[in-house]
Amino acid sequence: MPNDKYLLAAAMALVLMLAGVPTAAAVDIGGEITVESGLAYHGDQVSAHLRGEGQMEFYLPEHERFETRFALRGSLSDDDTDWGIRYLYLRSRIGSGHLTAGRQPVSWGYGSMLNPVGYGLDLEGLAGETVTPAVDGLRYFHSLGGGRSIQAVASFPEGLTQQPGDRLGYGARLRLPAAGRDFSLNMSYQPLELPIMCSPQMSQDHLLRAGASYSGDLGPVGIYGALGYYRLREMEESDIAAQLGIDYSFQIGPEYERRLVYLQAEYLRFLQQNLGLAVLMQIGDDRGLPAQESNRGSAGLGMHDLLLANASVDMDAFTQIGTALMAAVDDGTWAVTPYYQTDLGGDVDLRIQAQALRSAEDTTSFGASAALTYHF
Amino acid sequence: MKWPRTVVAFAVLALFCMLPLRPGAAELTGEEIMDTVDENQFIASARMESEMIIRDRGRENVKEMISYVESDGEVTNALAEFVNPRDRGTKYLMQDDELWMYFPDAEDLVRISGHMLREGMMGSDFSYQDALESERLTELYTFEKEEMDSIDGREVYVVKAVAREGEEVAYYQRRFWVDAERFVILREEMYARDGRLLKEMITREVEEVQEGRWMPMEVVMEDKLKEGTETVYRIKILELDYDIPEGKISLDTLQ
Repeated sequence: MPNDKYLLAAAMALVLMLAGVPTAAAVDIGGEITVESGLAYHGDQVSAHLRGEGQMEFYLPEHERFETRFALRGSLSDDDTDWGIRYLYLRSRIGSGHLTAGRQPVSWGYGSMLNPVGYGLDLEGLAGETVTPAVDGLRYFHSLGGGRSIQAVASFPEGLTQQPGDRLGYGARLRLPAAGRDFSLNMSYQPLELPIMCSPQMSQDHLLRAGASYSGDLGPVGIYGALGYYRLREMEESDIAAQLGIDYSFQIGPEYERRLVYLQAEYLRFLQQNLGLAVLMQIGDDRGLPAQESNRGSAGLGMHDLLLANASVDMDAFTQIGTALMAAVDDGTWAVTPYYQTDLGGDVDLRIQAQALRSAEDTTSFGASAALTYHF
Repeated sequence: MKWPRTVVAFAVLALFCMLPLRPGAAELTGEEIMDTVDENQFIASARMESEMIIRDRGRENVKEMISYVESDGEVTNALAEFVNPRDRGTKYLMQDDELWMYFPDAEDLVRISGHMLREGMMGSDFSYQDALESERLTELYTFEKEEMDSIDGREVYVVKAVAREGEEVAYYQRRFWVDAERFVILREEMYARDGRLLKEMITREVEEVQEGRWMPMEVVMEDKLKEGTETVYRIKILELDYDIPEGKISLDTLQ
């Protein structure tokens, strides 16, 4: 992880610099630790896993002109140990905006579970989980007033085998919130490696995306959606991604036993069926979703039609049960994840979940896990 | 025997001094009472450190937050940042009757759908709508004064409120028990249009934050549609007329 070495050096320099700040307050530390145990059943084989992971953030003293963020992450399992820097950046306030340099989250969310016009691939609130990619690079944010803003990003994803000049990714977002709605125009151009059918090799390419996202209310229902143009430069493949989603909540149950139900569903379709969700999964850092090898479609660019749904019930102020569904309608792949989550007190959460996964090859896998998370 | 003029003058003066300076309790209308309550509760700008204790059937969850509030008398905007370990860095921005949520891990700001506003904030018995309702009560309701009552030995006005036609309110009817001396709400009941009792709020602690101005510092909210739940909201530090940095409570600084 070459970028991590540079970032570690930057972290040490930052600590030394802050140690010299005469009015530096004590550094506060917070984070979470998760221990998970589970079973998986796939093709007559049962496997068990025990895994721990954690994140620790150093809350550094605030400064008038700049702010810093430093968070480490790590995981430990039966056969693998991984640790690294989750976030490390320096943000300098400039006029009506700020410039951020280092490893940082870049999220262009609008309330959807999957964002097809974001920078990278991020998931929000699917089965109660959120995945936000971190990028190494520069981000400039400028406020236009009234909540409107424009931001530009340049990043260097690691783990790619392309020449340094080809590894540069960049993007921009114009955000225009208003009463009752949020609207955004986004553009990104990022390098990625695509699996080649029946070959262990990966082809290098660049993905251009340009589109818009929207969220608002239609009566009592929340609605949102996105429309984006996709183009793979080297493969010369293009497509249009269209997404529509809704969310709604209501109370059910007899008097004195009312419970909140939350429903969310969205449908994403690549209209020309040339590209698919699989291409998005090749973007970005190797700390996010793993690159997907696939024999489907053109060079593994399947999953043209994707349905996501999430339903949850708040049993009380501490406990939630729910189910998430992901289904690639075009090839019959689906995954269902029911879960139970509760606050045990003392800043400890328990999460129990099961999963059933049906692949395009008509094989079904099952799994179940239990995890304890301590927040500190 | 004729009394000297000076003695009569002193007697009359003494009689006037025994009378209360403001109109007698019997003379205040419901609107006047609530107008004084509005004046008491109006916050031009403030910084608060507070906690919200959510209790449900013997279990308890504590949310700690730092809030900034500013108002021009017409519109109130607020920013709340949670500082307890589980929710650390999560922020809610209430602006122009809209609610935005800031996710610290993603450093992203997302607008909360309208249907979520009537639900409990972070699982509490305070709804987002409770927090968003910033207009003065006298602008939203008409009032009718009922019989006097007492709470913990303190004389209180009981005022019934019905929503004005066309006003969007969280509760169609409300009933307030207002401390007759301090003009702070000691108890409140909130009703639906059909008369069903939805919530009850009781003030446990009040404090004189400025000379002659009292504000509730600890309140308990109960959702009457759920059994065994309550939420305690306690203000630990209140800094009125706080010099909030320009743009602090805005979408711009959260992005």
